[in-house]
Amino acid sequence: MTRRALRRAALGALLPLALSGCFEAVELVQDVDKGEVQTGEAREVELRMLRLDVKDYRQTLSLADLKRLPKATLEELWLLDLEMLPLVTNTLLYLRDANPAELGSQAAINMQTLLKMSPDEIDFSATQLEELLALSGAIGAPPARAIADLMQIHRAEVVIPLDVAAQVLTIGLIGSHPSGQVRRGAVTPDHPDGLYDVTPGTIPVTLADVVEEFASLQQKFGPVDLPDGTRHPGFIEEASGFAVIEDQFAMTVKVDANALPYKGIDLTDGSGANVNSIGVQIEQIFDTSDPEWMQVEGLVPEPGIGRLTVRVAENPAFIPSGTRKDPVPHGDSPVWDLPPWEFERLVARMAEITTFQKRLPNCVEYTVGAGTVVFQGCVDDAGWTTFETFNNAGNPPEPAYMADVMLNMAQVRLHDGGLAEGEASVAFTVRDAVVGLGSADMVERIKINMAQNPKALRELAALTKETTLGAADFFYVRGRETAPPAEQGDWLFFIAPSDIPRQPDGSYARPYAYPAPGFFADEALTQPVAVTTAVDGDTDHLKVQVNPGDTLYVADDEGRVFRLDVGAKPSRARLKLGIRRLR
Amino acid sequence: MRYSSVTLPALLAAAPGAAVASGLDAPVIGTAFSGPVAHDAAAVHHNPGLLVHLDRPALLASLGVVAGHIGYTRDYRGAYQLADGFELRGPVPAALVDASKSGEAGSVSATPFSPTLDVFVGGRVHDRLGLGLGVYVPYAAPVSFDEHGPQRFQLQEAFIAITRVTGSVGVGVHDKVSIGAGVSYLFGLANLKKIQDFGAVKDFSDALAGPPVSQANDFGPDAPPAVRELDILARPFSLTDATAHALSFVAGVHIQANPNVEIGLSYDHGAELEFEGDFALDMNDDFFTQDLASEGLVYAPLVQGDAFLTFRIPKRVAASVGVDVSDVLRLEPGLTWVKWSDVDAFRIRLESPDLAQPKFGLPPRSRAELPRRWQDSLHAVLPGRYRLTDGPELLWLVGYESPASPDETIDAASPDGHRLLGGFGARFGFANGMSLLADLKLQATLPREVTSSENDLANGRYTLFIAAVGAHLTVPLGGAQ
Repeated sequence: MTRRALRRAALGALLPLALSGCFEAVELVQDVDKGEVQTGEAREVELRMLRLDVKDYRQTLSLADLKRLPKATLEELWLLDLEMLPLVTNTLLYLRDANPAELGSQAAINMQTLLKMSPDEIDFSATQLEELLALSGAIGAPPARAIADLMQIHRAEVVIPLDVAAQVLTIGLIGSHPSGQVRRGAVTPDHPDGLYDVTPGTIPVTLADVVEEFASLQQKFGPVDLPDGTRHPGFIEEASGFAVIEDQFAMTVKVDANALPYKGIDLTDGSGANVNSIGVQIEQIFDTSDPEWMQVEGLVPEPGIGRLTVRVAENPAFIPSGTRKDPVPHGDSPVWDLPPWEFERLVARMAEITTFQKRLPNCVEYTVGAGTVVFQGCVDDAGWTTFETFNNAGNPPEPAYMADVMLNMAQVRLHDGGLAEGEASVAFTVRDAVVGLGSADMVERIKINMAQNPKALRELAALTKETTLGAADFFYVRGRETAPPAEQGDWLFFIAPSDIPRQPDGSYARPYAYPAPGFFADEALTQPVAVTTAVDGDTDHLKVQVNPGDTLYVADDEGRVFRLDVGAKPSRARLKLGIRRLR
Repeated sequence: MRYSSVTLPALLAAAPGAAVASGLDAPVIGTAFSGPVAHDAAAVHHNPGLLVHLDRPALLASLGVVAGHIGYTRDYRGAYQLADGFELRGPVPAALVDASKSGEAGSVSATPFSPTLDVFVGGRVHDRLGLGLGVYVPYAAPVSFDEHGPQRFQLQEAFIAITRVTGSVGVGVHDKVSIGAGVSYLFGLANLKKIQDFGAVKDFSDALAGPPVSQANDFGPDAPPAVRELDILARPFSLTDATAHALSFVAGVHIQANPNVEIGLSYDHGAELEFEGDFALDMNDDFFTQDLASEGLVYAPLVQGDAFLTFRIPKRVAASVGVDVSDVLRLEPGLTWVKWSDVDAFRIRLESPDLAQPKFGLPPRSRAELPRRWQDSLHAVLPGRYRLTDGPELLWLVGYESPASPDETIDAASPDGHRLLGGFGARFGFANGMSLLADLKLQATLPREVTSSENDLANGRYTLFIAAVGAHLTVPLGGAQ
């Protein structure tokens, strides 16, 4: 016997007057599940609009919160395009200055050689300029001086400046990879394919990257098939040990919003359903002029990478230089037909940039005796380089674009140490490289980008405030009494694709499969009456203003057609609807 | 047993706090004319010192009916937002002010009706010793208002009764002076229903003000009208099968000043009662059950658990003088001081795992107080009796009781005011000393207009009328002493 039963027994024994108190406790009125609305059947429903207008409401997402969200959502939430030039520069600096014994491979050592290659250190043997060796005696100058003069650099100065190398690698490698060209985002009318351009030379950083500490970077920038049937080999062979966020990472946004969901109807059974209200309000809930509208905490001050291995693929063949100047600017040089990510093409581009950084045209002459010119080298405006000797001073090298000349030297030197063609793909590993963008700057970038596109936060916000329940076909919005007169009153909003929530696995809870979205004035659904004018800040939803006595027609996502009769209002923010299924 | 219902004793769940109506007035126990100098077995309660002066032991059995009328017309004097709104703070925009809540609202009334029964037995068992035992219901109130009326936030329905069992002894310490005392066991039963306004609940206010929602709000016990009585915060509440046990005592002195004058003094210690019962709180609104689930606010549609309601039955001191004006006329004027000031608030504690909302800092128990700040009350009565020759004895009384509830805290659950009393009865004697008293007692408060109710909770006009009709059979036990 329960304590309650004992007490009742005691009451009965001790207090006959208890009989006077036939007292019923509060009980629930159970809703009866009426099942699917049948054709011809009518039901009555009541909707309400309740606002909980929160101000300066701080919505914080911890790392744990974020990790629970569907990865697809995190991947679509773009934070910033991270400039890779600083990282690549840091990487090349590391490579250039590293102890060769620590580089691990002959290819890496050769790459280091190229980065440090100066006219004084050029070994012209077996290169296109090998003839200069023979000419050096005749012209009275070492080949290094001649090539340095032609390149307008000091003999001890590197041929390919590191900043140029970094720039070309950044653009050539990253910019040629699909992941460096477009990123995935939300499907919107402006981006129906869900693809967005990426700033050249950057990699798009999504919330997924941050949350997972770039765990998918290797995969993202790994080998991938291209639309033209070729295959990009990728360039990140290994990436690990990212130091980007700390355990206390958290994103906080400050919003002014109605925190309660809208109340809608699932026409299938006439049951009530909730629709997350954040989507409707997303354009106006953030005050991006407030410096504190978004806060990101827990980023390490100097994000970095513990270990990064970059691979630059070499073409399996030796790429010869071109033999003619036309067509300008590359003549018949085959290197420019190579994929933009191959080493030879990259080096050619580096050389080209280096050439055009100098004053052109440029000619150097070497004389003997009383000023007799014995050798002349010229680089014209297009970078076409010619060598001439006089007085039978020997065989000058064949003319070529300077880029070809430098590529030729690079290719030869890259295979020093006995490497065969195709074996000299450059792979180098750097450790503890800094990304080059401090956390403060990163946060600022994120805030700027989010401020320009707060809709990007819609799904995230909706997911963290999972107030959607059921499968509403439409919902009720009561315009604010303080809104312009045209927005006031009672509105029915037809469900939009953005109202469909995601599930934990990232898939949508249901397809948006409405054959005839919106509201209609006729049973045949040929006279739409819904508009997208702004109500409550929303311009995405099809909506219609309703008044008691109105009749509308609407179809659900399975093609059932219903008649809606707007009844007398129970109160200001309540709406009574009669629903009759027509077919 | 005598069923006393001089005012409405009702429990109120305030947040979900609780209260007993201020009108737990001076009990009328025994007959309408029982008192510190009334020679009947009800002296067990009214003055144990008198027991030794009863002619002989007797049984006093009372059967009656109590009926009444409680009227309340609410006068809205504040600015209320529309009930289907949810503005957290006042003042609300003019467009959201509920124009219908202005001035007098429709009247509501309750008509309590209940049979009554109580039994006393007592009298002198020795020259200087009297004994007695009584089982009676000094406090009771079955009340039912319109459940949708403007008083619904104070009370919809209540049934409260306190049974008291008292055993007393009187001792003659002197030929003219006797003293007595009695020990009482009190058993209380309480049931009530009301609409709980969460807008007046401190816990709710704190929950909104703190993380995770962190919204400043005007809710709480001192909430202004602008944020009260909102539809979603109006949650049906019931307290049922609440019982309480307590011990108390009474004491009295009887002085036979001269053959025609006797004086009675008595003290009733009252008791602190803690009712323990079952509560049910209807939280079946989307706002509480699902809309803020992502923030951690998820109540069960029906929250049930244990409720503990504490209030005090006041101490009281009564003094009466019995004067035999003549052989046929006797007057028994009396004064009673009731220490209602002991009742500053009604306190309730609810316990249920379903109350816990950890993310909002709400534990599985809730405490609340409903301020009452009652004031001491003075009752003055002038009973009299006249013995007709060869006919029945006629009895009457007139009286006055001052109110306990101040304007600031009065509400429909505790209608109170300047109360006028009147009564009439006739006692018929039979063989063997048996007698039957038929009496009628009427109480009515002067119409009370309240305009300074705190937060406009219960401004308006109050009326109260109660009639008690009883038949009291006295049966002598044993021979005359």
